[in-house]
Amino acid sequence: MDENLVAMLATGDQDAFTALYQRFYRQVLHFARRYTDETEAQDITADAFVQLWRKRAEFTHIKAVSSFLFVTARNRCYDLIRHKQVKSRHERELLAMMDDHYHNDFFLVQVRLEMAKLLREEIEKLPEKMREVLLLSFRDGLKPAQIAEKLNISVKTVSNQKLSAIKILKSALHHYPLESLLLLLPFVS
Amino acid sequence: MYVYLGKNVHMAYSEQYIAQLILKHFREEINPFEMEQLERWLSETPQNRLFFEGLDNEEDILQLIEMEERDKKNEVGRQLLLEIQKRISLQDIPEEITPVRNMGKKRSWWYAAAAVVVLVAASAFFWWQSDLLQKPAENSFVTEKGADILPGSDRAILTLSNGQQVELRNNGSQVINDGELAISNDGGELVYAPSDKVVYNTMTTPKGGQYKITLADGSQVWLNAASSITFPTQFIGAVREVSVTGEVYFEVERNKKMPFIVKTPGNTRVEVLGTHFNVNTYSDEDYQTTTLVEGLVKVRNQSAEVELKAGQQASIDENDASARDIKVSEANVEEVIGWKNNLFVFNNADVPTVMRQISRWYDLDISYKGPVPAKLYRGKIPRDFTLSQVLNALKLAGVNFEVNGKTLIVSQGNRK
Repeated sequence: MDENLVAMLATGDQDAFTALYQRFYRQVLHFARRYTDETEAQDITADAFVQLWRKRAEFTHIKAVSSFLFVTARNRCYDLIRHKQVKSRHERELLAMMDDHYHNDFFLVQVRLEMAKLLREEIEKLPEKMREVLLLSFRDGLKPAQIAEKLNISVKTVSNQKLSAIKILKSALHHYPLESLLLLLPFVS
Repeated sequence: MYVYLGKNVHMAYSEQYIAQLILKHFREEINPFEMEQLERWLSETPQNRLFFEGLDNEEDILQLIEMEERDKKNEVGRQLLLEIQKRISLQDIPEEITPVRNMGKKRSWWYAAAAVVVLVAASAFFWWQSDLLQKPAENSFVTEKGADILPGSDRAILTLSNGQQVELRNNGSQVINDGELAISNDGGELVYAPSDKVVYNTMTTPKGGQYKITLADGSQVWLNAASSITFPTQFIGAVREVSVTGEVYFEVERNKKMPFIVKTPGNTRVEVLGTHFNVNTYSDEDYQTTTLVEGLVKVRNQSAEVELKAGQQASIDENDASARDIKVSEANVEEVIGWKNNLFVFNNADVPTVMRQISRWYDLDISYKGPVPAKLYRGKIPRDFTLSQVLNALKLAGVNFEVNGKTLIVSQGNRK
């Protein structure tokens, strides 16, 4: 199925291009986001796909497509970092990028995304109220007081629900004692 | 995964498999065989192990979930796709023209990325209508000699202060002399450097021509087909004044002390307080229009004066000699200045409007057989298309075309 998409892309099939976009854009975007700000990351992502269209006749393999997107995005991020000379955490990542032997960055982004996907499946399994609280916090960025008002529950209930939800998710990821979990939570008010 | 770019080809793990292994490990649900697989992957590169150990802090993953949820809400995926489509359809001629594979004959890159026309537009980027692209282009619009009609190109005539006429082309750089004044001509653009010499030059484009000038003050001017501009080689005095006919797009250099004034036929003046605007004075159009892209302009004729803001258009009735009103309306800027970006842009344009533009660019006369087809066009077509390519797109709306020498005969198509 994948190779079929690539063959169709080569003939200029726009639906195939759109399908490939849906398949890879998150990965490119999340990859670029690790190295630069949102506006640049979106610009880099858009540009990678524009370049993909320009060169559409050159691909035969799905891996060549994802590699091309990755390399295009990576090169632009690389140029950006070089210009900005950002320090500390980014410097570490810069060094990783400079290591040409191990082009794992893109794959690791994919793994991260995959884990996020698996965790979100766990979120779906949460009791409804708990899930609501979590999504209102994550997705909509609401503060506990706002969530309380929206769901017509007390602020205490909000923080309890949130804690429980996160606890369940954490144990889905890890087997850690509850106390140390609390230390790690950035979301708890 | 295959490390495509690395020196060795590693084991074929997919990202889904690795993610599952990692999660199983954290939940202590992993079996010995799977553990071995995980270990193997971890030892492939130091990066993998670093990544794995970094996952101790799940903030990373949870942040990712948060981002994904927000992206979904803000429709980031959809907006980004629209942006990509926009960039592709507005692109200039690419450096590489890659022949499209598996096609019978070589096509120009532009046709493969064709901005085609549809009768009813659902979205602004209608070139996504893939069914239209599946039809191969029949080269049916050829003249009796069997040659397709080529689009316009960078061509103009420069009339110097002494009346001498010089042909301008885009084929290498040259220097044209008006007395001691040296004018540079390169890449379809005439450039005037500041100088002492103050005389008038005129540039005229024929049908099928277009050209660009940079005036002595740095202002940039684009001439569409069948247009002209008369201007001084250096601006002095209280105002900078030029005269135009046809269709001209300006990007004027700011100078508060010296307002820029454009004179058009019928004694209309456009006074520029800001920068980017398009003037259309074709005599076969019903209205003389000035469309402001950016900045501020004042449009004045003998009886009225209006001020335009960006995105607005002033219209003066060409046919009404005693025009008292100047109408101000909202303009579709993209449609108006499409030509300057190398595109025909139509926004519910009727057949005569489309045909007038085609006739100027392809140097044709238009004639109608039977009633004028009542179709509306909405879309973008690159101006690099040959006439055949354009007509192939336009006929999809149900209009028939026939080329006879330099005449394009338009008639109603058969209903399906």
